[in-house]
Amino acid sequence: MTYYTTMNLPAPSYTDFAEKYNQYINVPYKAISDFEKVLKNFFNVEAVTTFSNCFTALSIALNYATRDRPKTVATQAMAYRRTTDIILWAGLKPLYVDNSPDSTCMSFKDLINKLEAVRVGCILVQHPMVKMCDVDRFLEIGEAYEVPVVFDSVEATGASINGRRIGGFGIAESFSLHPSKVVNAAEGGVLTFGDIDEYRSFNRHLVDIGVLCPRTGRKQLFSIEPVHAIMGMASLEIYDEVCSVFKEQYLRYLSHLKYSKSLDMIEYDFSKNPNFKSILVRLKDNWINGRSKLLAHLESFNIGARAYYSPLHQLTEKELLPNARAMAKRYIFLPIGHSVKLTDIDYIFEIIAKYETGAEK
Amino acid sequence: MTTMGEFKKIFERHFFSNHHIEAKRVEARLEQLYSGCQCVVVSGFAALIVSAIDELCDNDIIIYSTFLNDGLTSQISNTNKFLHATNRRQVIILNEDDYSSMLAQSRYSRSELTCHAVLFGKDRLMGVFIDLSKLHDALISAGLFVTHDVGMAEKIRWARSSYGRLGHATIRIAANSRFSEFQGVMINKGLDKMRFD
Repeated sequence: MTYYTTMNLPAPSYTDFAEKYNQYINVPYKAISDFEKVLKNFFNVEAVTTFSNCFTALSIALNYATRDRPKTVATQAMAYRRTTDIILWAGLKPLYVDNSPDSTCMSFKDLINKLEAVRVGCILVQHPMVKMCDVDRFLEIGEAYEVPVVFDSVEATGASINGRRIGGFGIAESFSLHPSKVVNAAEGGVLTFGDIDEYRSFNRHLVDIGVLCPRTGRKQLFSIEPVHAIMGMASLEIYDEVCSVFKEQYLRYLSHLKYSKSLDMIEYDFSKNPNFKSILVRLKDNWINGRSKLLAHLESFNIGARAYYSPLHQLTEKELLPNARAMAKRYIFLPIGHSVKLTDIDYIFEIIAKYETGAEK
Repeated sequence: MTTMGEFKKIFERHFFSNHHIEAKRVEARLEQLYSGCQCVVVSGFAALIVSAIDELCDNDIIIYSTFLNDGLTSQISNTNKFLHATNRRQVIILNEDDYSSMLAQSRYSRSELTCHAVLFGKDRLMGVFIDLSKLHDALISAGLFVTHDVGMAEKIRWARSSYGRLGHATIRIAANSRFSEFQGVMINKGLDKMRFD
C-alpha cells in the first residue's frame, strides 16, 4: 500500500542522468565546477560553492561569519530540527530568539532585545516553510548592530524578493540538494554569495581551516561528490516542471482545506515566485491540543504527516520563548511530491474530515 | 551488473539516499569482511573523524594516525586544521613504527583496506578509521569506522543521520554524514573488485 510522505523526491529521468554521467565520468572534478556554474546562473549570484551537504555548508558559513567575532549565533528557537547541531558543529553556541507568530520567522523585537543585551557573532535567519522572512529588515538590523547575517534559505529555493531571486543576500545563503527538497542531487549543499569579495574572503578562510586546497582550488574536505553534482545538474533542468507539479498539488490542498474544521492552510505569496514544495497547516484554536492524535490517525492510514519543527531543541529548555513554545504545538506539514497524486490529496482530506467528525462526537 | 545498471535501479526504486538498499548492502558486506565487527560508513572520512572526536573521544580515548604513503595523508593534516578551527581535540600523529605496532595489536588490520587512523583508549585499540575513496575512481571520499564496540558504532550511526540507526545512543551533535545510494553503488563496485582472503 502507498505510504504518502512529505519527502518531495523530485527526480530527472534516468536517461538524462546517464547522459550526463557518461559525459563527466572521466572528468569528475569538471562535473563539480560545471554544476557550480549552472547554480550561479540559476541563483543569479556572483559566486557559488558546493559541499557534501547543506548541514556542513551552513556550519562552515557560520564559522566564517564569526571568525573574528564572538562565538555565538542568534537563531530562531522554532527552526529546522538540526539548526542547533549546525551551530554546535561549527564550534559555536546558539543564542535563541523567539519566533514571531505572524511571520513564523525570527521575531524582530526579540532579536533587537537580544542584540541590545549581548554582543553576538552573527545572525542566522532561516526562511520557514511556505512563508519568507523580511530579508531587508533583517539586513537593516544586522547593519544597525554591526552583526553579519547568514540566511538558511533551504525552504525558499528558487523564490524571489522584489523580483530578485534569493541567493545574494547577507554574507551567504545556504541551500540543500537532498531528495526531500526541490533540487535533488541525492546529497549536497550549496552556499551562494552576492558579493565576489565576500566569496574570495570565504575561500581564504576555507584554506586556513584546511577545507580548500590553495593550489587546485578544490575542496580537500567535505566536497560534494561528482556523481551528486551530475544528478544536481540533471535535476536543475526540470526545476520549472517540478514546481509546476507541486503548485497543482498545493492548489488541490487549498481547495479542500478551506472547508477544514481543524486546520488553516498557510498560503504561499505568489508574488515571491515560490517553489510550492511544502504543505503547511496550523491547528485552529479549539483544536490546539489534538495534534498528536491527528498525526496518529493519519499515520494509521499511511499518511506520513509530520509535526513542524517540533519539539524545540533541549538547549532551549530554560529560555524565555513563549511564542516558539506555543507555535511548536500547532503546525503540521502534509504529504506532497512524488508519493502523492491529486486524487490522493482528495483522499487525505477525506481522512482529515473523518477525524474531525469523530473528534467532534 | 554494471555500475549504470545499478544506478538505473536507484531510479526505478526512486530512493536516492537515507540509508536504503545499497547503503545497507555496503555495511553488510564490510561486516562479512570484518567478521564480528560493527561497520559504519559515512559520506566522508573527515566527517567521520569529526563525529568520532565529538562522540567517542575524551582525555583517555584518542584518535591516532601517521603519515602513510598512499596519497591520503594530507587528509589528516587538513582535518586537524579544521578540528582546531572548530575548537575540537586533534588527531595525534605518531611515527610509522609506533602506529604500526599499535595497529598490529588488533584484529582490524586487513591488507585490502588501509587503516588511516585508529581509536585507542583504556590500553587497547577500540576501532579503526578507513578512507574508502580508493574503491572507485569517481569517489572523492567515504569513511568507514570498524569496531567491536556496539555502543560506539551506534553513536556514529546516530551522529551520521536519523536513518540507519539500529539501537539507542546519546550523542552531543546530530551531524549529517549520510552517504547516498549512488555512493553505495560505487563502494559496492569497489568491494566487488577486492579479493577477500
